[in-house]
Amino acid sequence: MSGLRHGTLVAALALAVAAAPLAGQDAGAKKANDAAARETPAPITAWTPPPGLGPLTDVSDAQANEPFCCDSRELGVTLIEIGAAMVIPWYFNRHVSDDSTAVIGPDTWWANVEEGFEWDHDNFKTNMFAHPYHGGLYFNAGRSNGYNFWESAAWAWGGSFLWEMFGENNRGAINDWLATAVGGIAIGEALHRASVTVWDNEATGTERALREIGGFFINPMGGASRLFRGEMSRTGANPDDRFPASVRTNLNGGFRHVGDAGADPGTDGWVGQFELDYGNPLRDFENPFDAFTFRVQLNGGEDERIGLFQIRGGLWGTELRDSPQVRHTFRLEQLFHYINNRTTETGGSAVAASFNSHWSLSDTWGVGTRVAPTALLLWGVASEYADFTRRTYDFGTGFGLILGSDLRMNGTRIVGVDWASLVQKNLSGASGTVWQHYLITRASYPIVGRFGIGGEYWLFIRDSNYTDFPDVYRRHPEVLLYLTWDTSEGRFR
Amino acid sequence: MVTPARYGPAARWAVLAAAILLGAPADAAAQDRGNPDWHYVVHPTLWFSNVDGEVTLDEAELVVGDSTLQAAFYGSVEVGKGRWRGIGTFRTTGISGTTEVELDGPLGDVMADYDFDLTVAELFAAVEFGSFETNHAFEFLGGLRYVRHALDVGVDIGTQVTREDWIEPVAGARYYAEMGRLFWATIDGNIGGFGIGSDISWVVAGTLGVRITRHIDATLAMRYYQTEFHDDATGYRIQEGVSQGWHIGLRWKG
Repeated sequence: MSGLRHGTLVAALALAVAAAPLAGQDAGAKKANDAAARETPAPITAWTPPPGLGPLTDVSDAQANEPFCCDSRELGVTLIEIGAAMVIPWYFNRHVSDDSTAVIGPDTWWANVEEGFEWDHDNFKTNMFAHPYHGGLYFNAGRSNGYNFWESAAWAWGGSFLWEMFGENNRGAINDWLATAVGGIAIGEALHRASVTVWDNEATGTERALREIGGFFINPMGGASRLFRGEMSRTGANPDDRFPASVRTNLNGGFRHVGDAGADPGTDGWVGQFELDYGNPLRDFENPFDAFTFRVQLNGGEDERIGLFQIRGGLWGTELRDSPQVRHTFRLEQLFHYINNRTTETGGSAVAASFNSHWSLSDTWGVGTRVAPTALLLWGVASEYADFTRRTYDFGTGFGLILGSDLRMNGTRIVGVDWASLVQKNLSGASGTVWQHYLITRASYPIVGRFGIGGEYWLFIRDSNYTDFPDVYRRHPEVLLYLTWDTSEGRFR
Repeated sequence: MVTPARYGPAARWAVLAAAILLGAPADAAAQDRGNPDWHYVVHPTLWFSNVDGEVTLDEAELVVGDSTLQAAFYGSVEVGKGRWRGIGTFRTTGISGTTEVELDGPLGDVMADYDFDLTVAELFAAVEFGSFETNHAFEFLGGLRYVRHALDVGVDIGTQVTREDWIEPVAGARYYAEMGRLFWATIDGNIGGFGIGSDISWVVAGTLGVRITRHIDATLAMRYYQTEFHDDATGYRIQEGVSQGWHIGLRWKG
């Protein structure tokens, strides 16, 4: 799976690179956002492309109005792409890596059908990041060929199931099936939406080439679909929903210190973050992921470069109350969470019933709150008993509560505090119950133009109560100080 | 002179049944979703399952498990109106074999024959979310699960008989997707226990359905059920107790 791991890294980096073209698209949204930000939350306004990015004059009306994919679902292309998402990793494992698990045939297929699933022992990154990313490929094979979010989710489930049963000669892993499918839905849709903002069917020349390449790295399946259909080199109209009503992208870079509750002096290093706030979580819930947040963090001084990867997207929502002073909404959310650094490994997929509110304190200031009971579908958390579990982490399921509040100035978050308490009953690994608590405080302030300073303090507490082993209590504080670049010139709304 | 054929009651029932069975499935999808009238689903399946788990019996430890698929029974019944429905399920399976038993004390490890039977019955109330105009839907469900373990372990000096049963709360969800006129699929899962009954129990299942007639679907499903349970009073404990396997069934809806 090293090919996959490489692919995920490239994709994450491509996202950061893609921030610039994304930002360019959103420069024009600044006026609308600035005006809207004074209201809390701001009304949705139609996005108007900046003058330089409108339809080219040499594009005929017929071409400009020609719809790209898809009047109907492209089953054939979808199947080819899902097949490629299986055959290419299998070929790599079998003929490049000489991985014995890739020696497959009818006997191994029947054995897997007969024996069913087990919990596997792969490392945390493979199980909780590479597999979900692979699920995103299955998802986007459908999503980029005319299938909607839910239909594409079925492709993620199906593709993952087929790989687990028939892609390797070891028993299918129940954790892989779920992590690939559920995590793949979140990653797939987030990358699909991000890539659509990068691709510009009206662009030509160098800009067009860069946009096609950037979009391809963000969403390889979407890029492949455009290639199959000849859309990469064709001009035409952009989809109506290419951009959300509001979008904000940030690049942060600076210093990071992570500690281990005084057990050692901790680790210092550089940190780089890319943040995407897509849509307005208080207003945009007509379709799944009309509003979502995406955050990836690269850590220096660590063995694992991708230290954090988070997605929170709305699946369904409704307005509970709306007045000039306050707005209450309910949103069913899908969460994907991955933290991997030298002090801890934790993450997985969850769904949250999120009650979001926003109060206007004045024309300038506002306060947002969030209360979200959460169900952990499949979660992994670090364990000290790797000799017993053959993993450095345990799998489990459970529930929790997430609380959050932020103070906003003209719609921009100045200070934010989040708390999450999760309790996980282990399903595989050391039998027991693991409490996880997160305290996350963030502050940022614009200094000059798009640039500002920011900082974060994280405290992760793990209280593992094992049935057969001594209990473990760990505290991992983390401090980040960075310069922040609002690449979208957007505003939190 | 041609005499009109006379049909007895049995023949009339047969013709009626054939008419129902052979009716076009065009409206079948609509029947599955948001039916404002009372409706029901009966879904018996052959369950080809295997069972395994690590069992502790007071001072003995053994692994029960057989990867060979056993023919077993799984069935469910649903009765609903509009967005609401009640769901009942029942499944039973069993395995037997020989395993090594780790005993505390001077006896050490011994070989033992065992029989393990698993019975699970569930009762859920479910409500459907989403628009009936779409080709997919979510159901959230909550209810109770009854579980019974029967384990007989025989060694030279005798047989230990263990019977454990419990009831636990369960919450879960089911996602239903139309896949054209003929096919549909569901993914469902639930979580139960949390110390009330079992320590934790967890189910995930996927089903692919094919509409054969207006009222009958054929189904192929994979179901994975895992439970962690302990009883301090009897010393019985099962870790990573898994029953899983394939279902082939017919789903009658009316």
